[in-house]
Amino acid sequence: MVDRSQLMRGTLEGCIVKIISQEETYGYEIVSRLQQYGFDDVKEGTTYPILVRLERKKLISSVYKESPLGPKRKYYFLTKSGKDFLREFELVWNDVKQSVDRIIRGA
Amino acid sequence: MFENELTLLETENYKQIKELSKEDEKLINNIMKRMSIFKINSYDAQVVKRDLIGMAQEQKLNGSSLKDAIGDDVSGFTDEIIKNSEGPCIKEIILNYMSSLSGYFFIWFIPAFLVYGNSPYRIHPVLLLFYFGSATTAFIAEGLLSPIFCTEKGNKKYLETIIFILIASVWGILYLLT
Repeated sequence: MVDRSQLMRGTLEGCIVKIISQEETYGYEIVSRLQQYGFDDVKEGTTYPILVRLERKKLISSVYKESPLGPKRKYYFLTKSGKDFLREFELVWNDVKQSVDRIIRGA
Repeated sequence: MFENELTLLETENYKQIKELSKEDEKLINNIMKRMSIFKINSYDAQVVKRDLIGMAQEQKLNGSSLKDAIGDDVSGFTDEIIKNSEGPCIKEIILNYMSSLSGYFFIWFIPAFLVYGNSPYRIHPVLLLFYFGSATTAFIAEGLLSPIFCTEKGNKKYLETIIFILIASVWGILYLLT
């Protein structure tokens, strides 16, 4: 059986960086966005360690901001290295996607 | 009182965690126990704690709990955070060990001094060995054993207590034999 989580592991990092590149956002919203795009089984338990890793690699940075609903939220935004990473990820992903597609179609 | 960024963060986290449900509070405390100083430095651990509290508050607003956000694999979640963190701080480990030694000094030497009326290791030099032995055992048990079993479920979580009792018994038997 195909291990979906294993397959997702590498791509999720790039997807999160892409979502953060669109606008400053916080953990819960990132998960909601991923679920809207079809990553139904993604939880904050999946994304938080990735966000920690991205922050350590200095691809993203964060700031606490007041929330209109209650507690302060940690907002993530992309750094210069993050923008470079995203460009590279998009190129690599397109290559991988095309290769896999060609194999699956048997072309 | 002197306050640095770490103590301020600890104080803030202490206040905030009290406002969560008992279930979320317990879950966060278990995750923090797994983040031993041997694996992650205290500052990074407190930052993670603040994030987890924020996560729990966000879940509460949406009628859910932190457990729903993390899922069943709490150990895996915590280990993944540890793996992605800056790692431990050697100075902090040494300072904690020294603090543990000074704590045990009072437990071992003050009562002995009161009983013997002299520096106890002169009367019974083996006391010094057991003093270091028990302090080191407790320090390692707290820093290494406790983090392994604190997020386990069922009977596994009692393994830490059993192992600790076994080690303490070995020390006790050795003490009686000498």
